[in-house]
Amino acid sequence: MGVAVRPDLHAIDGMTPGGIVRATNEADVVDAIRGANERGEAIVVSGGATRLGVGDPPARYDVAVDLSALRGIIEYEPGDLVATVRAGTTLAELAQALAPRGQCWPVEPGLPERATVGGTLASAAGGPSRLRYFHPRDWVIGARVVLGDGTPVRSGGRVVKNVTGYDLTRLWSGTFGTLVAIVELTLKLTAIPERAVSLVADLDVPAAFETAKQLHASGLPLDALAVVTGDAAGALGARGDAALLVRLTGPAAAVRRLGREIRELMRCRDVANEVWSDVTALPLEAKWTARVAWPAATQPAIQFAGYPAVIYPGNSTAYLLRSIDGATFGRLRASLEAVGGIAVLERATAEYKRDAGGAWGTPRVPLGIARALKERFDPRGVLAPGRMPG
Amino acid sequence: MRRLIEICGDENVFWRPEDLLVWEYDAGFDRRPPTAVAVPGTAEEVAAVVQAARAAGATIVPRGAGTGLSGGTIACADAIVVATTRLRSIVSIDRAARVAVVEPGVTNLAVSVAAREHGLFFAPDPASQKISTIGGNAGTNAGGPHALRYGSMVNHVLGIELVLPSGEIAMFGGAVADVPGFDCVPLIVGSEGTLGIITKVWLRLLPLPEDVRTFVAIFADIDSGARAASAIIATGVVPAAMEMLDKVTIGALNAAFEVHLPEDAGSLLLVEVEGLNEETEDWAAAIVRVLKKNGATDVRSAATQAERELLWKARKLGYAALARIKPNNYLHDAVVPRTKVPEVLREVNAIAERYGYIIANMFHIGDGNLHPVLLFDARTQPVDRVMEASAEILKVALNAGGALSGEHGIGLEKNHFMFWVFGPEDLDAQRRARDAFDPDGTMNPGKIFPGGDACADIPTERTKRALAEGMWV
Repeated sequence: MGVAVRPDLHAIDGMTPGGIVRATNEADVVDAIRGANERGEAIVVSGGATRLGVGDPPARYDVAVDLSALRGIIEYEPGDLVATVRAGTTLAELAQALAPRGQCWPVEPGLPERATVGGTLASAAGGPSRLRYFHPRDWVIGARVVLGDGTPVRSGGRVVKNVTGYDLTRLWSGTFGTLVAIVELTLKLTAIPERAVSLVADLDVPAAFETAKQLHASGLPLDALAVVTGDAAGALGARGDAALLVRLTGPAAAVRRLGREIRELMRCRDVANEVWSDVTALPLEAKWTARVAWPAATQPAIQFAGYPAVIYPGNSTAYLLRSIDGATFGRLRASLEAVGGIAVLERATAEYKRDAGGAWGTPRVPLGIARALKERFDPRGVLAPGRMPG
Repeated sequence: MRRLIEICGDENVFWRPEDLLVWEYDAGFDRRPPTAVAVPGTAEEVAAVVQAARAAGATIVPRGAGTGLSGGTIACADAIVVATTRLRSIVSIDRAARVAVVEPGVTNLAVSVAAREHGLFFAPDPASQKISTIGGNAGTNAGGPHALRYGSMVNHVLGIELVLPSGEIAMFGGAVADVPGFDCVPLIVGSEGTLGIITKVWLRLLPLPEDVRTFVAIFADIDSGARAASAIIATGVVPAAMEMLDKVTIGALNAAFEVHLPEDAGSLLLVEVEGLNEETEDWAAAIVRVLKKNGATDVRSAATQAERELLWKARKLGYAALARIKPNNYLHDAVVPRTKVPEVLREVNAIAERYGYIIANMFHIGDGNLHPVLLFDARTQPVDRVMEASAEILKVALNAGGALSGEHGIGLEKNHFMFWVFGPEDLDAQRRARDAFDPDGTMNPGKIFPGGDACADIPTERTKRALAEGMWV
């Protein structure tokens, strides 16, 4: 495997690491973390670096620990619908290993050629699969990690139902490499549906939202539902202000019937399933991305007409894709947080994040607990200090 | 005590020995009376009780309906039991968001019934669902038959309001996805009351399926039924539920209910698929093909809703029906990889035979979650020996790559066996998580983690330790 190590791939908000460790096994990760503890250095762990900049810039950044070469399938038992893989395995490599047996890991974070299994869990990656398959952590059943003090630790197991002690595997979800470095995951798998069809409707923005709402409320088992607006819609080949995208999967007869019902609700045309790769790549490739989410009963105060965004109405989540001025963002964040929503800067300059009062907004975890977790798992603060609240 | 009465009211605090009798056991085997029981009526009262206990140096055991099977709610040392059964309001159901907000004392079934009015359902359905509470379900990461397709509580709890061991009321997660900060919800689910007391829960609801098909496949023996179940999973068509009932169970169910299951069957599989009509038709046909190919002598469909409900009633009350055979039983909850189910079942049944116990198997075969029930009469047969057989069963499951518990929890029943699964560093990592919440160990001491002495005076404790340490008694 010869992926060249490019220091710029590891740059975060203009900071570059003094050194790069390219780990190929768990011992490399243990050594790197122990070394950092001894030298008082700070480490940032990365996989495919598709969401490396999410979060506040680390307080210090001495060493990049790149896990993209820690890859490969360790064990795959199709009869159990379970596979154990190294954390740096890309989603594409995983999909390729599972497809011959008609199985998949139903998580769709975008840029599958780069995005890794470990990074997907560590960053609680979103995407269209959230509608039917929910959170990436729902598809992970066991882990090996290295704690911030260099201790390798195993959690969970190889069975799909497990309450043998604390569910640390899922606790690692969304911790962005600040508590542990994930080195291996055991995944729960599902069957690739017999048929998958994607439909797109060219609509104006209000009609797109109204139709999406109706589709979701119908209770029909949609596989994915998205609205893409502004020039992002144009980039997908849409002909209106907004593209409403639906994916239907299942046995052929079920997909045919769902297609009929959807066509009764909206004028639409078939589109290649690959359109979802483009949709999921948008938030990862924009110069500026904010993830906003709101309680379903409320409406976010965002004018989507003429503004590029990827919206997942079934999950009340949107990715805003063009920088807005800081004051406007501040008002948006305040209005969302006032009703229990969030506005997280996923891609923005260090200055923008700082002026906004941080990448995350108001933390929703008691800070005493967040700090205690950080102190217990990473006592010397070597893992991306300052990236997460707490 | 006076402080507890001030907080909760005289009628909601119990301390007289005769009043404590009903609080000294759960649905498992161990018993021990608490010092006192408080049943607060609001989250604020829960917080005040925790603060009062803390000030008095007492420990706390959170408790729902007491249907747990692993001693998780048994009070050890000087513990006060805090029951959440008065916190039983369904706060809201949001149809558009598919979220229910409920208090922890609401029963599992009450959530399902309320959701149904909105065209939705709540997926986890433990057999105890009529009486077990959402708080207890979350505490043990309960599952139930339909966990096969939909997952356990951890996959359906979106947010938790928790009274921390400090007495502070804190919020984790919620209806909005991926809120900033560490996501402690999956840590709290399944933590068996060791991190705090749940006072409110945000639950995911799902749209009711258009069609449900339930059928029963008959097999000559356990082995062929188990192999058929493995073959179904291997096709990737995951049924909503797939349960195995063995001959002993079938006999008990027929005696207790009018289910008319075939008495001569060696085992049967109860299989359910849910979805659009077109989906259930396709999946049912595929599953029936696999069942027949793998030796099903007969496959019968539940023709009516009433028939379907009767089958599930029999399944869910089956545990109680086993009391017709022997007055006592010892039930385990090990999980094994699905491909290993046939061989593990053979070994489990051989262990029971070697010890001379009648064994009943009625379990979630689709996700490899065994429930071997050893039937015995505690008046004449020592429980120590049953526990010894059970420990052997656990060992077989673990050797096959399994886990100690799929949905019941570790409690004080299996904590010493945690060494069989995890190394010292792995357990220490779990302790670090607990210490982040409860550095003084005041919440449910003596549970989950092995090696502690908080529950040392429980009669079965010595046996369990000896078994776990490999010193057969």
